[in-house]
Amino acid sequence: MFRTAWILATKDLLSFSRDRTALMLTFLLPIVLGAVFGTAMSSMSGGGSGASTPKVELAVEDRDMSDLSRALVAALQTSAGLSVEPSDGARRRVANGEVACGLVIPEGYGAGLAAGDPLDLLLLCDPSQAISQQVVLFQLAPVLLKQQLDTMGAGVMGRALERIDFPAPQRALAEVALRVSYDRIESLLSTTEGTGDTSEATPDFDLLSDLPGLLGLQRDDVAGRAGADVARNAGPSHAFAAMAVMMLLFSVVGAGGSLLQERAQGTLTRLQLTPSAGGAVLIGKLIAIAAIALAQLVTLFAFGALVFGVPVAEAPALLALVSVIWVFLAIGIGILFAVVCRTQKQLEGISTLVILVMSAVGGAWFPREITPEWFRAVGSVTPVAWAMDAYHGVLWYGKGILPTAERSGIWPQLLTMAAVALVLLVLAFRQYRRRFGAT
Amino acid sequence: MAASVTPFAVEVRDLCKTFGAIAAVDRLNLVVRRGESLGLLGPNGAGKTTTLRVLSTLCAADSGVVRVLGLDPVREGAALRARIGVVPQEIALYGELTARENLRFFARMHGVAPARIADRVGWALDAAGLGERASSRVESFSGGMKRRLNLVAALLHEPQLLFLDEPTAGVDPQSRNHVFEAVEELRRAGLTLIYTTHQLGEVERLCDRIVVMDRGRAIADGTLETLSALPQVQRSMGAGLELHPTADLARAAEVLRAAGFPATVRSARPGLEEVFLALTGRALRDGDVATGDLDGGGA
Repeated sequence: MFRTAWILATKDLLSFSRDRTALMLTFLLPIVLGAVFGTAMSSMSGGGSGASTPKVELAVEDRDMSDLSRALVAALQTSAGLSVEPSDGARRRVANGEVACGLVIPEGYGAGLAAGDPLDLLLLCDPSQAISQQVVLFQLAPVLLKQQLDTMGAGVMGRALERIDFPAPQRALAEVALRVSYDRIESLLSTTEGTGDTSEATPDFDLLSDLPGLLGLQRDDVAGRAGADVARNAGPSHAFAAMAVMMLLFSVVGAGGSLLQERAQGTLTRLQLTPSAGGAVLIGKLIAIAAIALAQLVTLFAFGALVFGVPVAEAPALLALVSVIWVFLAIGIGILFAVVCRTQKQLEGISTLVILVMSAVGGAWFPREITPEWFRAVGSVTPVAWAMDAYHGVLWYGKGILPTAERSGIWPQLLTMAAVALVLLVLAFRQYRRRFGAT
Repeated sequence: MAASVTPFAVEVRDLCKTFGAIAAVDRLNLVVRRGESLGLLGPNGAGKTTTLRVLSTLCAADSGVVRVLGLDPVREGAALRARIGVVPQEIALYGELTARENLRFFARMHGVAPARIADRVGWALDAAGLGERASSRVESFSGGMKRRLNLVAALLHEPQLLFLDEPTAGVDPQSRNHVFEAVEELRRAGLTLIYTTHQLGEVERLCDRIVVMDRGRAIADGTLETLSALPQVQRSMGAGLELHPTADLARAAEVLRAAGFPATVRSARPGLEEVFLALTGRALRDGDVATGDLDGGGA
């Protein structure tokens, strides 16, 4: 019996070794995805260095232009985890999702700091980018504390806290912090710098809500639709946008694969032998795939709206427009895959690899802003990134097609997607005619 | 463009078609009269399938003149496709659809008038002997049932010329016989048939004339009788001794053996298989250009 089993096993191993798709999915795909995740995760956990260290973009609006405000900006620019961008419109940039946070240094900051007055720095936040906010806060903390302690001294700062009537639960924490020497504070912060890891902090300490107060920052959530429930909308909006983007690619490529299936079973030839053969065959496929894809998106967003409160009803027409353009871009990708690949098996292997990697680097799995710059640069040229930006722009940021005073428009994403969809569909049709076309 | 009136369903002069460096069809000349049933034979890689692909508009010839039902397959492809039917080697049907849904779909694709679709589908189901299974999914059918449906799906639009590419491959004897009877019925109805198969008995039974192709060329053309009389066939058959039909063959053989001549007795008329092997040789032909079916662009 074992001899027979061994013979069978060797046959299976031989078959496997000749199956390039199986080899790719078994060995290459896990390595590629591991590399993608590893890059992103090591960055999140501070494991990166140099160019691979993620820098969170912080828009800094210096309205004071004093020596102290300039010194603050200069100090922030030396922070390893921040990419400080001087900006006159920090609020708009955060509101549009261009940066996770903005810091507004008000007029009189330098004079007030020297006089021991309460700080009035304004931290503008996008609640949907919580990880980036944590990074920003941990980068801000040592810089602000150092400047405050250097300038005012601990006693002055304690009085300042008293004067601004710090809430009792936070004051205790603030007093503890102030009792600790500056070196100790710096040491404490350095252990969690850039990671958002609050495991060493006080158990009741809520980083995102408590730390800004401790640092003399007024937090203002400026992104998100007006009246949106942050806790309820931010995550689901991103999640359903991500699923809409990634799963549509899978379903469209799968449907496009029916072209290869029809070729293998001979029905494609039979269709080509009908009088109306030619481009009609591919157009018919395209219509069917588009209908299925749109039905998938409608189902997904309806569920998201009903169960998770995804704000689909806020801009249904624009969401439909984004969906239609994305569907055609995805179809362009899917049909091109189908006409380039020789067999359905080959299509499944290559498309799985490409879609998963593109989804990961394009921001469908984790926010692009937490990844290294080169990673972001690669991700930003993927269709997944354009679609994610468009969907998230509509669902979370409340953007329209064209820019307004407060919001940028999503026309660049829509235009890019439409143009690329057109190019891919033209290429797909040409390749189809070349490979499958009758006379 | 209207098809010119010609007694020929197919006229091919000096047809050439190459795939890379391989000449799949090499200066082929062929005519098929209207109403004729032609058997197109040849070993693997002989060029049969490529010829069928060119004639049925699936690919263009590199050079040569091709007219099918008086039409140019390249410039008048759509008009020609409306007048020809092709029974492919594969079961080219949608398994997840029922027999009736498949037939309705192909009838519509072939441009059958909506008012006639129900009639044509009903006729096809009856012709295939599948009236009782019309609402069953094709994936649940036996190989023979699928073959029969595969055949009638090519007849829904009442073509004038039918190409059959190994239409009985892998079916049970009953279904094969059903296909034979259907093809014989089509012959009686005056349809022009071009039949390719490796089952030489089918050609003997169903075809008026036989063209044997090898290495892209027609190397023999005629009825079984005329092919049997070809010198190369006769040589292959061995030395012959013609006896009067009334002669006692067994006694003749005995006399020959007694006289020291090794002899066996058989009918003077070789079967098609012997003719085929005599013409194309006995060497194995595995070197097909491509897949060898209508879909694959093989030779």
